[in-house]
Amino acid sequence: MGKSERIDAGTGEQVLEVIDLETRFFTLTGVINAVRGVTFSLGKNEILGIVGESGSGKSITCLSAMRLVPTPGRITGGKVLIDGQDIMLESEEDLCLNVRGKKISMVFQDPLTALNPTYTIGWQMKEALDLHSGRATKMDDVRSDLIDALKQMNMPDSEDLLTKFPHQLSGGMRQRVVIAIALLLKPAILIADEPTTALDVTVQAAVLDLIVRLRDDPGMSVIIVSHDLNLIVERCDRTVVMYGGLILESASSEKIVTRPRSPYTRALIHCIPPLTEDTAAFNAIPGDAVDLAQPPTGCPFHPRCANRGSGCDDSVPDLAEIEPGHLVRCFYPESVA
Amino acid sequence: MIKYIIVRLALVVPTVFLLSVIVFATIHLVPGDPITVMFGIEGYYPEEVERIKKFYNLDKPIYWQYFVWLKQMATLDFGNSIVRGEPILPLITTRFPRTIMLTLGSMLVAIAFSVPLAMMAAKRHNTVIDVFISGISLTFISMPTFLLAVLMIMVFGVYLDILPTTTHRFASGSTWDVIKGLIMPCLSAGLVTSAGITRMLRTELVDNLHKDYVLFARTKGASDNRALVFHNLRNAVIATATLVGLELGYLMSGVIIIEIVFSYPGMGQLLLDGVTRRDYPIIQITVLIFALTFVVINFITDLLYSVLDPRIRYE
Amino acid sequence: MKRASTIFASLAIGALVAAIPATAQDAPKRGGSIVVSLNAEPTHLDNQLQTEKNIDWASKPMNAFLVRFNKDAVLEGSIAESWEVINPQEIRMTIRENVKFHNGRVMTAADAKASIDRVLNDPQAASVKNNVKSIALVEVNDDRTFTMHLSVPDSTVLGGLTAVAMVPIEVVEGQGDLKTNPVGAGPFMFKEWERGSHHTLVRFDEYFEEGMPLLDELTFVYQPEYGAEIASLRSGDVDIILWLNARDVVAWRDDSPRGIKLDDGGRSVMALHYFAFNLEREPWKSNEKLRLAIKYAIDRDEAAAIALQGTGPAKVSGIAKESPYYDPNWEYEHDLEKAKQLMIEAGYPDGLTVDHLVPKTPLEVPLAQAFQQQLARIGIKLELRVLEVPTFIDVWVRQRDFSTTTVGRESWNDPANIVEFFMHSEAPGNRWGFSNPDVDAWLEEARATFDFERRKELYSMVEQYRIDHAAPFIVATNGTRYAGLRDRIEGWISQRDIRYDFRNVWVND
Ligand SMILES: Nc1ncnc2c1ncn2[C@@H]1O[C@H](COP(=O)(O)OP(=O)(O)OP(=O)(O)O)[C@@H](O)[C@H]1O
Ligand code: SF4
Ligand SMILES: [Mg+2]
Repeated sequence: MGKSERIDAGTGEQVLEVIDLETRFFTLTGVINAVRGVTFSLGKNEILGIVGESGSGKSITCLSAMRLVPTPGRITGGKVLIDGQDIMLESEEDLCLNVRGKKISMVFQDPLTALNPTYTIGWQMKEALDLHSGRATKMDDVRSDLIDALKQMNMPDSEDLLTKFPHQLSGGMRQRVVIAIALLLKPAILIADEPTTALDVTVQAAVLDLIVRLRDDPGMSVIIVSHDLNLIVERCDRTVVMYGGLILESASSEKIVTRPRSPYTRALIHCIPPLTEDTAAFNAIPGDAVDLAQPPTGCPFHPRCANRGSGCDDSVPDLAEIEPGHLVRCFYPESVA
Repeated sequence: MIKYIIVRLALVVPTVFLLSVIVFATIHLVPGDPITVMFGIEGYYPEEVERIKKFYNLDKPIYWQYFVWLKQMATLDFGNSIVRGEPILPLITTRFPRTIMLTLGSMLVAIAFSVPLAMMAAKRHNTVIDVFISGISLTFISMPTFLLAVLMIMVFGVYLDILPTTTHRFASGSTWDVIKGLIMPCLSAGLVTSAGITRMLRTELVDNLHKDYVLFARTKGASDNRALVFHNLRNAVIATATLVGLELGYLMSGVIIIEIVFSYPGMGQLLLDGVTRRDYPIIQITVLIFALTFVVINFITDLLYSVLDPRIRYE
Repeated sequence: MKRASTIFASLAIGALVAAIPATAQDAPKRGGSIVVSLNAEPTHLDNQLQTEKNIDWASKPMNAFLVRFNKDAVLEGSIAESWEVINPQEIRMTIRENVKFHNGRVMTAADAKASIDRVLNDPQAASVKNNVKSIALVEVNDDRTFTMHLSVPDSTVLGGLTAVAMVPIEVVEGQGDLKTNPVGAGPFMFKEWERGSHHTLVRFDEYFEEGMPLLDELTFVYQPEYGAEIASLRSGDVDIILWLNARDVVAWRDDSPRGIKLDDGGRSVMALHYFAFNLEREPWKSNEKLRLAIKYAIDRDEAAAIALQGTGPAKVSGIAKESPYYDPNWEYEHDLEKAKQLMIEAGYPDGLTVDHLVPKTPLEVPLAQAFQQQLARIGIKLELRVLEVPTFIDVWVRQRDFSTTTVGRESWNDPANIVEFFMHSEAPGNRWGFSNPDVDAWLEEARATFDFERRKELYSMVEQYRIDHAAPFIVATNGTRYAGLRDRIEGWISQRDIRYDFRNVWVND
């Protein structure tokens, strides 16, 4: 199936709906509004990309979707529906037992740190099983399942791997292990937060392909988070552009590339770095990324925006659907060239 | 690994040898000898003192005395105490376990207090609870063990009168008496020690709170507490193990004060008594045993390290 | 024939009521156990080989002696039923017939001989031997009688025998270990010794004095930390602590903590704390005026007030006012003007700097500091060298490396132990290089005579000489000892010579 055929997949059955999500950090020096009313949804078998500069609130949005905001952060508003159920209303025990890891999983940017250095791969895989079965299973009973899971991630020599410690594996291998663990209980949703940023260029594509293939086998919905617009639009059905804790634009990836309407999205496109570039390159957009502790009034992008007009620094523009499936938050959206 | 252990053990021999020379030289250089001290300010009778010194070979050159002692030690004969006139070995065998009991008991107290406190503080870091726990730790860190011990005696021994202030029942008592006798000494030494461990462990735990593997465990479905214990604490402990090893060493030396304050019949008192009475054989052996224990503690800490942290394997 | 009564009189020291007035009207009760705190573990429990008071305190309840000083420091028979001084070099003693050792055997005169011989021959018994060393031979006359032949006439031997514990001959001859397994004929029997912690004694039911002791059990615990001793007394874990700090004595006199009482204290009649000169060194050797300047500059009342915080008296001699040997002629007034005048006459109008050796003890350090202040008033700068006791002994006794010093001596019952011990040219306590043929002659005669009046006269002459010439030392005070007791303790007698007696102690629960 080609990507274009899936553009409307998101309009079908929704596996994840984030509605008006607000997350704040109550630090000693003040309140940080990390996520300021974010709404988006993820359809069955859809691949959704979230793109934005560093600090724009991508990771916190994803963690909030699992109700896992680190202290001193708190979700202060909104709903997160998984399979139509609002997880904000569920008990913490329920979330641990039935939601996290089981319905929705997440993999992190840095596979070097996502695995606990003090436990074997086998232990950490088995833990995921035990957490949901509510008992400590015997290694012998689950070994073949674990090995199968690793095999599916194209891991060679899987048998041996279970007794290895993370530091004995390469970065790419580790990320595959992390993904294998995340998928162990066959969740419907996988959030991949910059899954390849920390990896060697040579293995980045392979790991990404692996993630993208999950849509078909076993049939999942995936959110890929990245700084890298190029990477996102190439692989995702739909793209959400975030800035300053807000969604500035959301549309099919094709439209984002061909007809971006937000000045911010355009700026992003113009400074797409080469694949190897590190985070620092994103500041190639003139001016500093927004400081969420003291966000500018009005449109968060206005201090840096080339299109800025009157009223931009007064109030925050609404996220408006300017054509079906294409949402933009801007008083002066770019005209369709 | 085996090779590492062998090398470490082999190093103990020259260490102990060197130490024995230093101790021997030092105690003989310090003015006063057991016989003179024994007769005290009032009862010093020069001829008698010289006669007794001759009897104990204390009139011989130091190197001669050292070699005799070394020869004796080589046959594992600890010899006799000069001022007590009785064999040293039984003195050691009854007291050494008591000091170990006190040291380990104190460490147990330290850990029993510091782990939950550090976890509580880390979980609620930057809240009132955290600040409160930090405050308590700081108080204990800056409090001399001696002072805490005295306070403890005044409160539990005198005011509440629920714990014994003497150890005569402890020394020949039932298990319950032994436990009662250990409570205050272990608490005083343990609480002071726990303060340092709490602070370090709390810092480590807070540092780890946002580590990906903790968060990843949470996304796998681990509860807050499980992630804290199995993932966060497990790693924080590695960094803290060094401190615990060090603290165990400090405790060993710190128990000397504790033993004096609580009249606890352990090695520390034996050493102090030996020093004030210039009882050379006792000083030599107790110091060596303390030193050996240090070495063993260090060694065990190192080994423990490699057990705790799979990234470290001694080659 | 001189009967024992003569000796009584000759060695008697003024009768002072020493017993604590009974607070309860109850008659003494048998039974019960008490705990006494010692501030150090005794190195062993062999009373004969005692080298420090601690060993005596720890082991004396297990031992019985031929004679003893009673609470008024009057010599009386204990195991000895009677004795006679046949001539100044021969004393015959008869022992009671019902004296038993803890091993069950009845004591005979042969045991007395073996016990005395052991003290004379074992070098470790030097401290005890010093007071009986004139015994040349002990002759056993029959089961209950023996005769001591003295090498020189010596009236102090009987007093010396109060420190010679009686031990069974088979243990002495069998090289039995009395250090860790003591056997005596005393009121209490050895039960156990937990090293580093305590030792426990139990009542000896066959003790020769009817109805004694009253206690079932007597435990000594070792508490090196004074604060711990006090805490134990306050909590009642300990019933008696033997030596209270002056500070606590002062505080407790008016208002003792609940459940605690002070004994009547101040019993050390023959004790002294003094400022001494090394007479082998100049300027002390030949400059008497300088020594006298110091004598008049020292304000004994002030020094005692500082060092003892008012718990002990200022003194002019080791022989206290309460003693029958005391002579009021010794007294002199502190006189700063005279001292200043003497400084000029001595050739030191601008003063001088003096080395002063001090042992690090709770009493000597403040006393030396008081001397330092007082001598500064006549331009003498005392440079204190405070040393730990073992180091002090080494420097003071062996190296004799001192110019002046502050030292003290604990309590004794016979003036010979205080006067002769320090001033005879051959005496072990003469560490000053003091030597005067007249003084030697007086001291020797005092020892040789059994006549109280003559002894008193001779010791008075010696003390007068010492005071007039300020050599070898100037006495400032005597230390005092107060014990702290739980209220339940009855029958406690504060001993003048700090040799505690537990025979009459009982608990009033
Ligand atoms: N633990 C925390 N304490 C306080 N503020 C936090 C914390 N974590 C995140 N924030 C705030 O939330 C904002 C959003 O963070 P988030 O990690 O979601 O950014 P991101 O878009 O994922 O950036 P990056 O690309 O660097 O991962 C940050 O700018 C920061 O100010
Ligand atoms: S609202 Fe104004 S400032 Fe914001 S992006 Fe649009 S044009 Fe720029
Ligand atoms: Mg992020």
